[in-house]
Amino acid sequence: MRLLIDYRAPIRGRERGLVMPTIYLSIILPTLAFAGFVVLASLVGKGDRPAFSAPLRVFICYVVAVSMYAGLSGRDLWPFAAWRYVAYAVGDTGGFTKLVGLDETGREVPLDTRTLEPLEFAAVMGDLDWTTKDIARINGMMRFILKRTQEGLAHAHEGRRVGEFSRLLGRFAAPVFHVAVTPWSDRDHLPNRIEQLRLYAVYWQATGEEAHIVKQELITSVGP
Amino acid sequence: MTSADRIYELCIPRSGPLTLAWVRIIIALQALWILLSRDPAGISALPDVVWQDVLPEWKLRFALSPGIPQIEFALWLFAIFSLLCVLIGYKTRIFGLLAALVLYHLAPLMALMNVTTPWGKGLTIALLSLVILSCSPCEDRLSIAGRGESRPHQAYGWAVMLIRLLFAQIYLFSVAARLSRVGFDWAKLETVRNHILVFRLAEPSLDTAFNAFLVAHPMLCSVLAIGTLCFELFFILAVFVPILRLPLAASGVLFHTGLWLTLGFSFPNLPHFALFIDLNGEQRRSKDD
Repeated sequence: MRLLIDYRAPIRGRERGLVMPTIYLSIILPTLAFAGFVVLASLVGKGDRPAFSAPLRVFICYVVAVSMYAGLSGRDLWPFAAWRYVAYAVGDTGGFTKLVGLDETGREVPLDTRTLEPLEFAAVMGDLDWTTKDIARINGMMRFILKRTQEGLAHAHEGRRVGEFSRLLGRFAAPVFHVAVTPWSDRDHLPNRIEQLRLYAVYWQATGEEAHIVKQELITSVGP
Repeated sequence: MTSADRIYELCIPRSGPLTLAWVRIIIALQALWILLSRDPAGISALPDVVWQDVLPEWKLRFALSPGIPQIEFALWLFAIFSLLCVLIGYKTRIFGLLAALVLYHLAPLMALMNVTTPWGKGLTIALLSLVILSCSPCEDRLSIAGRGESRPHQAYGWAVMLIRLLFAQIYLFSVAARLSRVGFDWAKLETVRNHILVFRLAEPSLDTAFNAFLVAHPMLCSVLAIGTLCFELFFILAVFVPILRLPLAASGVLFHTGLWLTLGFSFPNLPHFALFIDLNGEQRRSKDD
């Protein structure tokens, strides 16, 4: 019997457009692919040569075949990955979401992306997908972000480190995937408080050498 | 040389013990760099609101569970210890495999909020490579356990080739997906220009003089778009053609530096371009071969 996963479930963990409907595809096949990889590796002797070792030949063929299959089919067999860097084109119009804080005077201020660590800010923004989620869920996440933001700002005011990723390696820590915005590194220009968060949908249009915002809609806000 | 040897000689570029040891060191160092820069235990301690949308099949497949930061911290420490053992070449067969198994759990934890599997988080190549290293003679040089053992070069070449191939697939699969979804139309000036324009709009720190210069020069944008496609299509040659290895690896570093400066994308696998350095001069065949 095939166990079907609810299609209405959030699409996290699946490539957009490549929804995997069965437990077989989403758990068993990838797990078997990885388990086969490990088992075959353990059968290879140290110092084996392809010309003289059948287990090594099988292992090499397996790695090449599985990795090529995962990559070219787009199938999720991680750690055999279907790499998809910038597999899209940007047109002349589009939209993105923007999250800003409001200080005690009601002025909009940029957030410091480090405050959400150990989560990456870009990933959290991806989670605030108002087109597929109900607002109550998004508001729940926004309240969590507001709390982390307020804690991060308090750390910045005290001169303590903001964020977790640089705790061991300092400035040599591996950067997050998309550029970190760190306005709170400058202690002289810190907002006093962040009392509210606002989530906007921003629509833009590119014409020649310029892009401009054509519309900005408030999706939701949290705070007192 | 036997006929079987000749066949594999043709398919698998040659490498020596020093190059394989170098590959081992690069893989371990990069994985340590990522692990020491992230906090999986902290993610485990996050509240339910962060965990509520994690798919049950993900939890099952990668053994993910909220509220166990102490266990995750212990696993993180163990992964670091295992990687240090791999780095110095101590019992790589055991610790390479164990490190890979722990990373199989930790990497998805670090990608909890992502809409895809953790392929872009910097540990995918390391995970696969650690398994490959664990069954290769990567301790023969540059290791505390190495006795300077000499084996035929075929004993080293396959592992180096596989690891380089897995890295080169990043570009091969990205460009294949792009061509399949968008086609060669991707290589238009608008692709690069609109990308930069919207990123400048969304992130003010990317509104730089360099980006302004790029969008004001359409020809340059076209060259960058075509250059990106060509680089990604041909990078796979670095695995098999020794003379192209260093030029392509250097191009890769330049390519990602450009992406960082224009779009703000960092590349956690950047140190892996060092995998393409040959330390043994393997491209030269010796007379006795």
